[in-house]
Amino acid sequence: MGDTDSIIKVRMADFAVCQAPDKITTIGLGSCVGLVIYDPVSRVCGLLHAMLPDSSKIRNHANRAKFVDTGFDDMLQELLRKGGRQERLTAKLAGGAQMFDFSGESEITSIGRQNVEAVKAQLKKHGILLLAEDTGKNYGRTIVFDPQNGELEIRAVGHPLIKI
Amino acid sequence: MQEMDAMELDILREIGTIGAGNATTSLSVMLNSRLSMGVPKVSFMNIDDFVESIGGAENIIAGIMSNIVGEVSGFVLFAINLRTVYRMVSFLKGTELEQGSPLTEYDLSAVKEIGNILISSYLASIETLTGLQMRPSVPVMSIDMAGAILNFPIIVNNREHDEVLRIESQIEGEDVSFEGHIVMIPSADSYPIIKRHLGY
Repeated sequence: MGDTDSIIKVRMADFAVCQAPDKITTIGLGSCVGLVIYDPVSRVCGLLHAMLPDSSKIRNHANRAKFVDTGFDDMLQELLRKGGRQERLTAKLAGGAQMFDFSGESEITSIGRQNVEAVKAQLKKHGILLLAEDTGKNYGRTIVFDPQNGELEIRAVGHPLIKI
Repeated sequence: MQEMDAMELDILREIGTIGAGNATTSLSVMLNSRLSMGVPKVSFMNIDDFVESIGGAENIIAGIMSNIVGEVSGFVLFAINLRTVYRMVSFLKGTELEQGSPLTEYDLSAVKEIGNILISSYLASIETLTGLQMRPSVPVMSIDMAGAILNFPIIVNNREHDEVLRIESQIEGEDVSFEGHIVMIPSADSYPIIKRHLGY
């Protein structure tokens, strides 16, 4: 990172859109998902840190970025406003882990997997190609996306750093 | 979640103190060492602030968590930082273990058991105070980034307000001291029930 470039930090249940040379990051993804949508020509990208797959199942859904479905829509709108072109958009995805090994899978413990599936359904619906993913398993991830080269860096405790 | 008034906080502090007393007794027996626990600090806080208070989302912690089953539901989580994990294991083994050295299955299950005792004692006190039946499930443990661990109980409870009840406790022995946090995350449905049984 050069001295003048900055890293935009996305909190849990939030999203942000930025353009190169800025990078974008989110910390400590557990069962949450970190979805990057990216236009390689304008180098505009968005990062969504969503907690739950489906806003329609929750009574209170005031915070739209908390959910994959509504967060996806809002981020896509902002990406298009800021110079992204729908037909050029691609995606990368990380997170959706199962942090605790409760015996037996229930709707609750599989929330990570459900988040990943919800993202894929949205991508398919909008015709956006998923280029790479590092999802599932049982550990947390911190991710940094660089729209300059389209690389998503993934750090996890006790695992080597990977780039996808 | 509504604003807590002074009386509610007093009740919660009382719960924390009784829980701490029970836990100290059980731990003294398990560790075969005389231990005492300071008056715990009890507070309601936003989950993000809680994560910050234990070193930030990327800080590595051990999280020992139980499901609450009974008349109320939710989660109880015992969170300690990695330094404390090593101090506990060193104390249990009677040899100094350097931070970063590998932990065995046995070490981890001992730490988990300490968490289990604290969680059970704490819940037992709330049970006594409220008359509501609540038992912890067999705990599960994860050592990972604080953010990744703490998101889970919040997500599962579909919490409309992301606040948690935090109890900060310090365990002191003759030649050992541990600090940890117990966080209770009642489900949205259970919070009013607990409140009502406390006399509100």
